[in-house]
Amino acid sequence: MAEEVSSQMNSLSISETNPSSSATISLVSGDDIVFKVEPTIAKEMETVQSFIDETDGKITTIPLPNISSHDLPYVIEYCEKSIAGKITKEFEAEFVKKLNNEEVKELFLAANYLNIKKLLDFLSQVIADRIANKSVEYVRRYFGIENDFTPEEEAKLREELAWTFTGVDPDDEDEN
Amino acid sequence: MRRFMNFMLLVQQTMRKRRRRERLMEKKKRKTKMATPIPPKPFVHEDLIIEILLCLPVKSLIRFQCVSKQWFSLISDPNFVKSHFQLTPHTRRIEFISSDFGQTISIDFEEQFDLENAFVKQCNFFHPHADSLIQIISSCRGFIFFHHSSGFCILNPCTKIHKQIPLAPGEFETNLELRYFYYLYGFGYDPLRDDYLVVSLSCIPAEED
Repeated sequence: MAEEVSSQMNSLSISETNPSSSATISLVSGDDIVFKVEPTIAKEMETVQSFIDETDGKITTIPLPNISSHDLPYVIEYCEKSIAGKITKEFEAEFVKKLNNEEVKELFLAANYLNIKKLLDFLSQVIADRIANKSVEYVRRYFGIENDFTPEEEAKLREELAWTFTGVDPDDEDEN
Repeated sequence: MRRFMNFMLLVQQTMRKRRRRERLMEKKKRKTKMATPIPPKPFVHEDLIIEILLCLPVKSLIRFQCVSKQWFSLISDPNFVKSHFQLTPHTRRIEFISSDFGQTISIDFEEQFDLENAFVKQCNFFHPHADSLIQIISSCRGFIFFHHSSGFCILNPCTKIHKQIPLAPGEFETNLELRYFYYLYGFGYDPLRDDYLVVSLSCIPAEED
């Protein structure tokens, strides 16, 4: 399993060396790194595919300014597994194990931008699982939400909902 | 695998598609202008927030109503509640209602037992001095219909919200008749009207010879 993943990571490592194939699609991350992928991978990314379709397949270099070279390999890895029909619970658990909450959020936004429904659904659940026991303050910070309740309103609401504030994890995790 | 079958999610889908199109347009513009892309500050759009909220357990959702006014209205929206109910795999759970303390305790079979976290809440649906005897009549789609000293009540054990049910007119009206009547109660869901029904049935038992 681990070998399989690492070999895949190698296979999608940074481009330029790939001599053949006019068929491959070049995905350019926001920090200008080119990733060459098979057209089948591009098909998984609806945003990329519709871009290709709109230009009748003439353009095969797709700029993805919102996606970093850190996130793109994960997205490609997931798409490859998806094509191979190898998305299992084990793979998914392994896939997110190495990601902290900020990375999961970035990947979630990338999946949305690229319109990869399966990955988006999966990451929605991952984020939900990770914030389920978090405090209200953590959630505000995580999503960059401003608290627009007055202190009185919030105190009243918290009192009414006091039973839901039991068993909340402390915030002191070393996540950025 | 989660299924996306309801209206709200369809709306989200189309919204996402629209935004994707907008982004593509934006991207094209940017390309022609040759502007250097500035990485935007990660911002999670409302329809994406909804996708995440739909995956959360009820207890977390209720707590997160305190996050902001927007979250409060998202989470209390009836359409959201319906979608959440449809999408959530129903857990195996046992509910206890204690008449002595006015508490409910809910234990999830799929989680490690921990009394601290076992959903304990004071529910003030009886007078503290009342000699309450709670009789659970039936349950339906997660709601519990029960009788206690001051009437009939429907409780949502997940949210702890309860509602007193008024008696039908004429019920228990004539003491004389009461001696001869049996009352039966039922509680159910009508999918056509998307509403719940409490049915009371009075009957006179056949006299024995």
